[in-house]
Amino acid sequence: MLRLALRSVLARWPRLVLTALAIVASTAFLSGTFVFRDTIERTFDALFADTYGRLDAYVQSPNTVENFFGFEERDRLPSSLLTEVQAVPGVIDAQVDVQGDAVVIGKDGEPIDRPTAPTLGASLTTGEMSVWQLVDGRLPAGGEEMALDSLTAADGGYVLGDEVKVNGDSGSRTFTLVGIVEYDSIISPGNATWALFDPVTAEEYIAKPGFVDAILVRGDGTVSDEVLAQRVQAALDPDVAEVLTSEEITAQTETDVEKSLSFLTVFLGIFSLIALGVGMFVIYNVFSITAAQRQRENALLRALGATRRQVSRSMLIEALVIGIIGSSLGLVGGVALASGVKRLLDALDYVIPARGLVLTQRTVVVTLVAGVLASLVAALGPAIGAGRVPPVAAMNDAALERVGSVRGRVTAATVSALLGVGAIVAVMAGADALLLGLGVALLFAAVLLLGPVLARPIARLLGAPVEAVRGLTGAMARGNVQRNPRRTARTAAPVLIGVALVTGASVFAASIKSQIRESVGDTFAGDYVINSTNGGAVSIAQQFVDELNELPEVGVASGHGFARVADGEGNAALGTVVNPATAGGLLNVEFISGSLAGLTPEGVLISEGFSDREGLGLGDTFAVRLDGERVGLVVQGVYRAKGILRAARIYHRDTFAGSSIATPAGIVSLTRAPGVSDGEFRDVVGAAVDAYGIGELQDKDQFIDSRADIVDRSLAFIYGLLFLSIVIATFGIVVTLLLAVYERRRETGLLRAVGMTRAQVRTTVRWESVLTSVYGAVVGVAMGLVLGYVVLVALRDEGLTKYSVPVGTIAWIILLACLAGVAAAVVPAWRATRIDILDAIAVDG
Amino acid sequence: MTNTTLTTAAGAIDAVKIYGGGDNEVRALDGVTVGFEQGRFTAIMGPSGSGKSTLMHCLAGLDSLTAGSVHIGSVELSTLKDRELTELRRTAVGFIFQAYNLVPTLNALENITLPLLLGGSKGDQEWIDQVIDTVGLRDRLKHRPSELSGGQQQRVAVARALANRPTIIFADEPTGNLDSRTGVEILDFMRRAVRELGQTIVMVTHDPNAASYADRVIFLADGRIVDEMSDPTAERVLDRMKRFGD
Ligand SMILES: Nc1ncnc2c1ncn2[C@@H]1O[C@H](COP(=O)(O)OP(=O)(O)OP(=O)(O)O)[C@@H](O)[C@H]1O
Ligand SMILES: [Mg+2]
Repeated sequence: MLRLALRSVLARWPRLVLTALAIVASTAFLSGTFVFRDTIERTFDALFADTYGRLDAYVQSPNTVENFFGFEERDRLPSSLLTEVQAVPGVIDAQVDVQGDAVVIGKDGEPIDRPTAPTLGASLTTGEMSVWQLVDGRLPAGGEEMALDSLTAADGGYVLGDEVKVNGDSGSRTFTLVGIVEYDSIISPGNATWALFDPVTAEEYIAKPGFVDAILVRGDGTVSDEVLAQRVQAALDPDVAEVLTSEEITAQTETDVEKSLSFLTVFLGIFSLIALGVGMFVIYNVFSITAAQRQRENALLRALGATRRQVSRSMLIEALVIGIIGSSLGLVGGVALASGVKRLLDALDYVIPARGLVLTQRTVVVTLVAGVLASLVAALGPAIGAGRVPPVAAMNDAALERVGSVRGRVTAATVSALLGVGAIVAVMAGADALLLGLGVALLFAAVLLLGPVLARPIARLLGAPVEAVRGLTGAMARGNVQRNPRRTARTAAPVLIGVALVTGASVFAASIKSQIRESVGDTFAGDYVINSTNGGAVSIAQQFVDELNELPEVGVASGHGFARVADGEGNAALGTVVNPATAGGLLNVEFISGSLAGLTPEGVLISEGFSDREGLGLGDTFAVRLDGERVGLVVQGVYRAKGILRAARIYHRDTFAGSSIATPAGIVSLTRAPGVSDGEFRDVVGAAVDAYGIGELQDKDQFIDSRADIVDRSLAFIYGLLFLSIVIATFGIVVTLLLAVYERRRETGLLRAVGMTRAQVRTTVRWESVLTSVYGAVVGVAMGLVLGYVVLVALRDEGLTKYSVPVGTIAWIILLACLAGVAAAVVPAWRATRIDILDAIAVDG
Repeated sequence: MTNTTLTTAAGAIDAVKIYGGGDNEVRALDGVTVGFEQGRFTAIMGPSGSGKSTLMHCLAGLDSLTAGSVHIGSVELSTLKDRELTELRRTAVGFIFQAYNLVPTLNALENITLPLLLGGSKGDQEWIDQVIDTVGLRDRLKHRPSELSGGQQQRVAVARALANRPTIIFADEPTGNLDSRTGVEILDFMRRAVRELGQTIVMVTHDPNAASYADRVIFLADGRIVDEMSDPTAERVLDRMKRFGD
């Protein structure tokens, strides 16, 4: 029986390979994700192991603030600790380490930034602890001098002796370039731009006077790292500083790298799984059709004495072969994909200093297991069904798939839909958001269950215009789509899933966008905005805002920043940081009590929701943690959080003046002075912004547009990934059509015999394909609209109240589905025209 | 010869069809010259493997000859390209096969008018009505093939073959799959189509009874025409057939 199964595998290898393609894309994506992740991880691990290997101990603040996506940000450390550390016996060298944001402005006046790579300002460590090698010039000393990494120097067009403009959180300054450095063979670690200063300057300019990020310690070799670290720790207050050995800091950094990459892995992993699920549908469909086509053959085997199990097993062997072929190709594809991505990133100037791609055993095992398992699971149902074929079926010649009871389907779908709706309603009523996923899955299940019931009427509806336009060939295409609704539904299911997800994402995006448009418009009262949030992470120094206020063309300019500050219990939350003296007329905040102007550095404004949750009222004290110290702030006002000012707290910018927290402005809003024309204003302020080097002057409408555009850009990636599933789905249509063409070869032969032209044959197949994919797309769009709505409702606590349907995008999706249908039909249609009439009409064919 | 060409609906001259090559060479047709006169019902008979289907396929433009020529009306088929052949089949030739004659997604009426629909023409409505009434299918026109009996399906196939008033109709064992009563019904229709509607029909059959409905019987053996008979009766055909065994 095994031999028989393998023989049948061999006989059908072209189709098997084609079917295997359904999981190649998803497994390639999966393994590519792993390879890419491992490569980056190993690269960074090596980088950090090298960096921290030069130290013996490392002093950092014990306090962290939770940042987005579970990342932690560590507080800064008082720089006064340095002398205490230096005095510890056994310490031969101790230096402060400072790292922060600083943008180098190139000679052309444009900021030097590389996509997605940080722009860093840092202290230049000297001696044996330094990772830097001076390739030209000398080390910077004093507040007037700096060094650059050689790549940044080259990008900016700078040579030794040049005046270099740098924009940091505390303002814009000019330094003399005295040194060019490199880090081993890697020109610029992490592809960041590095502006390097002596420790004192770095502390004052990059951090805040009195604060540093860490203290790097080297021992004299008389004691172990552990003992040295213990000694240093003994000299310091454990609430203020914690001391790690070189090994521990390396491990901590590696964990951080892993954490940040795990986000990437989970994110991409989810898309791999979606793609794999779509591929499973394709395989399931192909096996169902194959089982139907081979009904006679299987029945004959059963009649000749094969057991059910043997018949099922022979199909599973095929699935196994498909899984192995598919995931092996996927593995190869994944490595190629990862190297392609790396090359692409290289070309984009984002040089990951990688040391070759890393293919781990885990990647191989996970990819192969995922591919094979997916294939086997997908084929299980059809294989068991094939075993159940009654031996008498060998005597009948109809190879029709049995259509299950419609009533059963409708019942199951209804139950599933009701449960799904129930779960969603429960989430809206406050149940755990995890139920939402279940609810959506149940809705999908309901739609897929209903598929065979829906396929016929929907195909009839969609087919009517086709028939009207294309006449007979249209009618036949429509008939073919309707004739086996189960198959049509199965073929369209992957399209449906992909389209539903894309539509859901686009509804979500459109809704966020219209929300942003409205709330930005509502919140910003100024005429203009200087927007720094599009370019990079670096914001605009308050110093520059003060300069703007001095321009006669400017009415008022006020910078608004954001700070993530921990409350007394150490729970971080995002707050808006304003300058109340200027913010008043520029920000529309609806106050229940208090006002922007009344905010002092000792106070805080809180949102209504936050006030209710925490039971805080006017005059109560709300504690925040600044550099490890609890500072009580008096609640001076309560406002309605909405729009951009959704943050639960508004702080006075001077609250942070003495702390290590920098509060640059992300956005500056401005009004025009009376009597100044738009042109004049733009000329003067635009020139000031250009001179500053960061940010873009926009009027309110431009600003609103650019905020809305951010959504599109961040979603482009998700769209791309979801389209991957649609591509896989298209493969599914190709395979199904090929099988259908084969199955109907006699019919096609007959049609050719009575005078159907090849072009007409092609048209029929093409329209069948288009109708199938459009059916999937139409139902998918409907599902996506529901999906988007559900997600929005679930997130309404986050301030999302708009539901907007991106009509244009949806039109594009449907058009794309048509094109996918046309593309999917090319090969099957060609095959159909090649059918030999005589073969086809031979009686026993 | 020229004379025959003018009065025949279709014919073959020195038709040779060779399958395979070398040791496997099969001469399915070995120099067949035959003409089918207009308005006549001709049966082709012969032992299995004698080349009956091959001859018909070549005559109908479904297959090409190795040597010799065939014509339908005054058109010489070997000169035609695929597109023109398709056009010819649609307009000048009708087919009735032993099985699998209808397109399952189309109803009876659509199947009958299929060649016309394919050509995008409406056809002669009066003629089509007449054909439908002749085969007696008026109350079944909206039914799908799966909702029709085998005999009804075959009647639809006959109606389709007649629908575009082809120059000639080819039928390959049209009653092979039917019980004898239904078979007789179909044969009767075919004879009426010839007598009353003036059609030309060529039918391949193994059944002497079926052959007796024809005006003329041609006997084939080993790819050659070995005999022919006018106004056959079942007994005479059977007698002739028995002699093939010798
Ligand atoms: N495609 C083919 N390739 C090779 N040989 C063929 C092919 N088609 C037919 N033949 C051979 O040509 C000969 C004539 O076949 P044909 O089908 O015309 O016979 P037939 O008279 O119709 O027989 P039957 O009564 O069994 O239908 C046979 O010997 C057959 O084996
Ligand atoms: Mg035959």
